[in-house]
Amino acid sequence: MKLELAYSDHIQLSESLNELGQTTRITQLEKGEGKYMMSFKQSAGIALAEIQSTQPLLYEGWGTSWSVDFNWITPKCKLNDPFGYCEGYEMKEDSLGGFNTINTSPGNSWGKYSNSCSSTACMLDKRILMKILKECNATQAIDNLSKARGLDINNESLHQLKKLTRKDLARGIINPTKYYDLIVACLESGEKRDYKKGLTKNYRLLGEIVQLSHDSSRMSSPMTLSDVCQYLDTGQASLYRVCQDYFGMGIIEMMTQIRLEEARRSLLMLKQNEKNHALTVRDIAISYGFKHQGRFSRRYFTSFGELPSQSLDKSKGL
Amino acid sequence: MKARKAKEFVFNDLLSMESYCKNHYTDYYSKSNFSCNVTQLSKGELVTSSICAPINDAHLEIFKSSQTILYEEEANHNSVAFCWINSNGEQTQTNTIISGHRMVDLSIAGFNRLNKTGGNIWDIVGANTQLCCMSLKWEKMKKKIDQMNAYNAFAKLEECIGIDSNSSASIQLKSLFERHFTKGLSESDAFYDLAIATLEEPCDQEILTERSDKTELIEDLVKLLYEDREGMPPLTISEITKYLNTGKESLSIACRENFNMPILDLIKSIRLEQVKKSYLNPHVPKGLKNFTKKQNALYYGFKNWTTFQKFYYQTFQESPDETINKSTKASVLVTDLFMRRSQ
Repeated sequence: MKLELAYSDHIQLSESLNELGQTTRITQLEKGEGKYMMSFKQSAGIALAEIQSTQPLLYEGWGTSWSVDFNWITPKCKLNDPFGYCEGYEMKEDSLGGFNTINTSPGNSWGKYSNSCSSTACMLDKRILMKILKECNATQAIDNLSKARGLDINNESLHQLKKLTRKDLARGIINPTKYYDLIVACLESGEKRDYKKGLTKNYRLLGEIVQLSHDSSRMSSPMTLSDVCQYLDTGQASLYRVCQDYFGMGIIEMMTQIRLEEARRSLLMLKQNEKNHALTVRDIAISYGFKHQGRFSRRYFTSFGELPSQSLDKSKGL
Repeated sequence: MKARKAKEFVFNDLLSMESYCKNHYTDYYSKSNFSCNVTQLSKGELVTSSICAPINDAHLEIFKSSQTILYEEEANHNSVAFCWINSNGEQTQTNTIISGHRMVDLSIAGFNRLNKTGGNIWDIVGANTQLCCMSLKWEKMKKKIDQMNAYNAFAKLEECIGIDSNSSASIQLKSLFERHFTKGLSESDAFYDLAIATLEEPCDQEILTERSDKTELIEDLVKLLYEDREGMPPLTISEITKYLNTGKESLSIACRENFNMPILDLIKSIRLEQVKKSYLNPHVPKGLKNFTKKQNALYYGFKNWTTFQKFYYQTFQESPDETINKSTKASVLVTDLFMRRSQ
């Protein structure tokens, strides 16, 4: 297995994540080219992955049937705003997130991370973790894991966990048990954030927004703002506020970006023998809700710096 | 009496109007190139005027034309437009439509000039209708929206084209605009605040036009017809329906609803206007234009010169020769309304 993979296309990230059993769809939320790095290691009952990107990325579909996927970030610079959101939980330097993956069905989790940090996922076996937690009678940890979305860890445990992961990503995982011990320590000693009004509602709404935006069955005929409001049973002001706060853009713009990204994935995934330039681009554009090919190509070019036909040419090389 | 900074520009042809727009809106398109297309849709002699009174961060303008015209420009990321009609209290019928929003006295529209995912805007300005246009800067507006927590306004700006509202803020906005053209205001902040309040304030019977597949279809149609390949025969209806991925019937209904004419007539109007603009081109000598006038018409798809001349005269009330002869004369009359007042 390669030590570190450098990519010029974020779609390659999802391909590598796929190998870890994470069927994730990744959307780049800002325009332009980027550089992406990923390193990962696997061993019995554990998988580690660290991702760095020069562009903010939205991950959807995270979560497997066997694991709890703990997440943390490593800042590259100082930032007042959160470095990302793990299922809506604001990720700061000392945050540990991703607890909800113990409750949700596989592929139901999401996260968004800025380009000012790297994000690391540590996937631990659910059953082993629960067994250890019970054995050492870590009631606080069990409570935190099942009820909180994340914790702030203001002691050495998270620091040690980060240090160990960095080392193991380079040399390979030597002792998986250490991860379980450190995560238990984090879960037991971490601090819950103060109660904020409306936060639980936001978590729910955010999850629904991400899910709806990625719903393939709805992509061919895009929803308007009032359709979305009606579907999610929410007012346009609160929907807009949440989207601006968490994704930095309006809901329809985000949904359009995700559709573009999915259209691009389709173009890049086509096999050589399925290609028929004029027809393929048109058909794919239409199936992702872009009726007018000229407009689709313009949008596509603004977002990715290449034309749909150029992506099609590249598809073999990926 | 007019405001100190107000100037009136009068155009007898749409080429001069296009270059006027380019000069005036560049500031609002700092990150992209501005270009626009204007076409006369009704038949008769054209006189168009624009009274323009910009202040810092706000471009304010009153537009009027003796003929119905179609205006098209690219959407952008930097500016927001608010347009409304001023019937001066008279209940007149107007066929003004801003990107699909049919304008009545209570309408304010043009929000789709702000479009982050591409697109273009089109307006039909009815003959003899006074259209008030206000362009505001998006960056400044967004800051204010954030401060005021006005996310309803934000949503409407990004997802709608226009609204019909009788809210008190919209009435105040319109009267502030009028006051500017009579007294001259120097601060733009009140325009921003009232524009946001107009969008934010709930209204009993608000009618709004959302951006949707239906509105995008007409946007795309207008763009396609302007981009239609010069030097080639005009697109056929089946080519258009294929390109826009729509049915013949729904395209024909949409075209009649919005432009009040069949699609082939719309194509003809646009192409006639393009020929006229080429006759008016100030960079080509008169003799050469006379020599190439038939080729020019042919280039835009008019194969029969006699028929073309007939269409041309019916539309513009002048012959191609008359247009070419006029083309060397200055066609924009600029009046500084303040100067005129003080004389």
